[in-house]
Amino acid sequence: MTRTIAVANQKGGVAKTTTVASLGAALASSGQRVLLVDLDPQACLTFSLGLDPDGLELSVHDVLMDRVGASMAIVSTPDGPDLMPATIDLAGSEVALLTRTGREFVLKQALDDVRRRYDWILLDCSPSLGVLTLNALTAADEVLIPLQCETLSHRGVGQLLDTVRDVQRLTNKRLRVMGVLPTLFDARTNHAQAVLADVSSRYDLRVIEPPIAKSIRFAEAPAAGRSVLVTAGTSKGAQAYREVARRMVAGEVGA
Amino acid sequence: MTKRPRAGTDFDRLRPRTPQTPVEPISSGTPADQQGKRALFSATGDEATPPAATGSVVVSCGDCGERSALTPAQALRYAVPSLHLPFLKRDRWSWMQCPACGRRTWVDITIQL
Repeated sequence: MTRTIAVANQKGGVAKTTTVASLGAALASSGQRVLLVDLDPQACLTFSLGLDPDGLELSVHDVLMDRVGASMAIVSTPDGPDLMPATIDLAGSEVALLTRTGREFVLKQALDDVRRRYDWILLDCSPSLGVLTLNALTAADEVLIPLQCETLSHRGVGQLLDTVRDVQRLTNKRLRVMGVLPTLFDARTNHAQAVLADVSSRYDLRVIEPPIAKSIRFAEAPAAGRSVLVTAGTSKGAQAYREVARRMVAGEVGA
Repeated sequence: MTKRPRAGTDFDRLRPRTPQTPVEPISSGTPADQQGKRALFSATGDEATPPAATGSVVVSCGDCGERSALTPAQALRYAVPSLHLPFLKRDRWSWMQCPACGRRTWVDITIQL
């Protein structure tokens, strides 16, 4: 059965896109069928996986505007996962959807056409709590929260959980919080440890291990248009994402 | 001399948001700002269901409780194979794959007119 996971945190720069690209590549390399959906108008996931967002004819924007079916906009990537890419036009989708009744369900209904082809669908949310993020939370079975272990990110988790509860009540009662994934983690600082401990206990959230250590390798990978699993496959970060993917496939986290 | 705030590791300034915090009801008449965060939602009740367009097929799953609005073509894909026992079962007399949870189970099928 397909598991659809929204990777969300309205705080920017917490490694949502890196998590989607890396987990997607790790899952695909273990033989899973994976679709990644770029829901950020900045199209960072699309760029990170080797596509030029400015040169795309079809994107998730066209799907959300009901111009084409989801399968028409999906492309394959060299790292293994399929990708529904984004362009800057996605910013217009947000505006266009805002006045439409049933706007929260547009992505869910679009994905219904392709869901059965995949074992995993990972949704890369934009760093905001707008209509696109609501669409992701409505289409998802679970939400994975990348958490940069510092105070402002901690605060963002509380806001996101408020939104998750609204979504559970209004548009997707099946939605579950998979857990928080510590990213950009620096185990040497007391602050990172304290944030992680407080988030976990305050919200009763599962901390998904291993934490993803801060590394320059993640910043270098998008330049090559490949995930860190290819550009620095033996790095600690790549190994950590492989381990998280392995635990997801084994059913040790989520579901 | 102003006292410099201590850079500590407690998080007292963060608003308490526990999982037990009751969700403010949207249609309770209490002041939820309809032009605030609520404006993002078009759904206004507790139904958690997508609006079904005229002519769409609505599948209500007995297992997951989800209602899925499908086009006739989508419904046909999920309904192969299926079993329909309207005279033997009172509720959910169609057996097919639920579009929401993916299980083959007993469902209600209605056509939105």
